[in-house]
Amino acid sequence: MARIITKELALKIVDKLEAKPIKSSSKAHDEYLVEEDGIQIAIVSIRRSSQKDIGHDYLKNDLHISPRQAKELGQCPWKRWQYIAFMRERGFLPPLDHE
Amino acid sequence: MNRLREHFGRIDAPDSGIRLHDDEWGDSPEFEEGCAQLDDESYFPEEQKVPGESDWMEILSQALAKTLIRIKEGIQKDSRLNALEERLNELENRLAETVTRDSVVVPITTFAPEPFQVLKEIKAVIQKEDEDEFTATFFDANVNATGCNQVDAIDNLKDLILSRFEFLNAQSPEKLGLGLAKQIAVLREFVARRQ
Repeated sequence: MARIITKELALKIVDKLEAKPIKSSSKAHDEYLVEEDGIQIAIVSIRRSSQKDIGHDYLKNDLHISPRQAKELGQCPWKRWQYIAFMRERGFLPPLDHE
Repeated sequence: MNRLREHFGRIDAPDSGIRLHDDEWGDSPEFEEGCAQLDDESYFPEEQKVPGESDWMEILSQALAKTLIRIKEGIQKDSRLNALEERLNELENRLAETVTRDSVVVPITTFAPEPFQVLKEIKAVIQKEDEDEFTATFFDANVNATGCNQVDAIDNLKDLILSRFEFLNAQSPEKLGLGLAKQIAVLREFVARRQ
């Protein structure tokens, strides 16, 4: 199986979404919280490993997006605001007041 | 010229025994009698019929029609075979993927030695991603973890379930988006801190 999201790409996604690390009791994974206007949208878990190409394809599930969107998020075409807008569209975030 | 006429007149005379007549052909009673004995078909025999010669157009059209039908059937067979081949390839790929992914359902019945209890059996799905990479997923709560083998993946999933449960349990509900609110609601049905 070809990996879509490697650890390297997963960390880029975490950076792009400005996700913050949270206290995690997990021994094998670090967890990061994605927030917008004080609302917690998703928690992403990244495997603790030195291997940069280790698979993180499940990240799409953590973020409630498709594999393609996850890849685009890591590789640039998709921006943070687009992800947030998509979350609003899907109801994972409440609509903005003026909407 | 007159001598010629005389000569022919003698020949043509009824008692001459020689008839030189200018009657219309077949008008003579002798000829009528002779003609009666004639078989038309012996003079004008019907053309010998070679089977298929007279209606060759029809036979050719039938042959062409049959050939066209056979060609059409051949094309249909070919396209059916192509479709079957395509379907077979698709199934082969699916089978290869299934074998590669090697999904297995593993029930989680305990969190020991952690101070948490399982309220309902958690059915985790382990999928093989690579030779040394497995993903364990608790689909209902959308918690995913990886490991270098099946046991490692399940251990990591248990850790992550508890970590997620503790973190989200401590958050005020109004701060949670739809996804995380659902996640903690499901986790509360399956996990509880031991008293």
